[in-house]
Amino acid sequence: MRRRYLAVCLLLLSCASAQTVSVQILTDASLPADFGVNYPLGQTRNDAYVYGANFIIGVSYDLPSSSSLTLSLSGSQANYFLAWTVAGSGIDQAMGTALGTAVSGVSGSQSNVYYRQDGTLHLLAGEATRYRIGARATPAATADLNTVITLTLTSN
Amino acid sequence: MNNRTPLFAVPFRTALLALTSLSLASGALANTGTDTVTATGTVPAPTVSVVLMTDAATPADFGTGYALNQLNNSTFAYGSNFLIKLTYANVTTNVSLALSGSQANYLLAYRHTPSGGTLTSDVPFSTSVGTATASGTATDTYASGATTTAFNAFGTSTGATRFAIGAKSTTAAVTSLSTTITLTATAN
Repeated sequence: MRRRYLAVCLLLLSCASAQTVSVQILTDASLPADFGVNYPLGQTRNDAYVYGANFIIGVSYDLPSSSSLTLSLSGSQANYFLAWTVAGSGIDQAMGTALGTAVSGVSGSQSNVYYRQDGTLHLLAGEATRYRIGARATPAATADLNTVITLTLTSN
Repeated sequence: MNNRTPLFAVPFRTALLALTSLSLASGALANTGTDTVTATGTVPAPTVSVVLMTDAATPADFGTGYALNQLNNSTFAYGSNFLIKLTYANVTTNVSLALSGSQANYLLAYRHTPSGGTLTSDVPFSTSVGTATASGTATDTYASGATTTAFNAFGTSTGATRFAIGAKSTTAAVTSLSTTITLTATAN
């Protein structure tokens, strides 16, 4: 009797610890690769956002129970506004705004699938949404922009 | 004596059930994955451009010729009025204006009439045309002033300051006046 309880307990514990999600910023190429650490914007402006290169988002997960995945970007620097946009949309989105619809009902294990803003995951990179990060300087800006932008994937 | 149950002892089965429910609870907690990039960019470079415009209901580019015609030794002779149109971007402090140009044996000057203000006397080119506080970006805005100040604000062409350039010859002048006058706008 004691052994059976112990087995059930260990099984549940191991399932819980197996829940993992990871996310990667990838180049917008026919064979997407890790974007690396540098995201140059060049000369910034006071009157408009200046955006960098396109990137797509790769997701991997191992989820024992049905979960929901959400994505967001964060980062800031004094005297600069930071934003993201979907390439071609012309809409500046504030950091912290969800990158699109949450992916719902995700379970099991999957590696390197690509996120699309309508809340779907795709095996083909061509189906992914193209994102860009941008910045706009305020008149008070005297220092160059140099700040870490974090992409966070959350499952719950 | 030896069979007495310790105060904090919990039956084994109860302990196991408690652990099981704990593990279920942890399975429902949020999990996150992150990736980062470092965004870099250079601070905006201020830019400013300036154009002399005709004093007309619909101002147009003044062009390159500015005729003063017959000069004299006793007073400054002035040409027609012009307006100053400015376009700037990424400015953090101000925009200032200056006129420059010279020719041997001639004195050059400017005068101005701010909207609602008074016509000034002859102002030598060495005197700054003025400075106005500016921030950010503006397109096709006109230099305007108040009373005796040629330039301390921006506005529409109708409220803009009217400028004119003049010259007075010295007695040593034997050739006609033909010289380039430069209007310089400086950001910050």
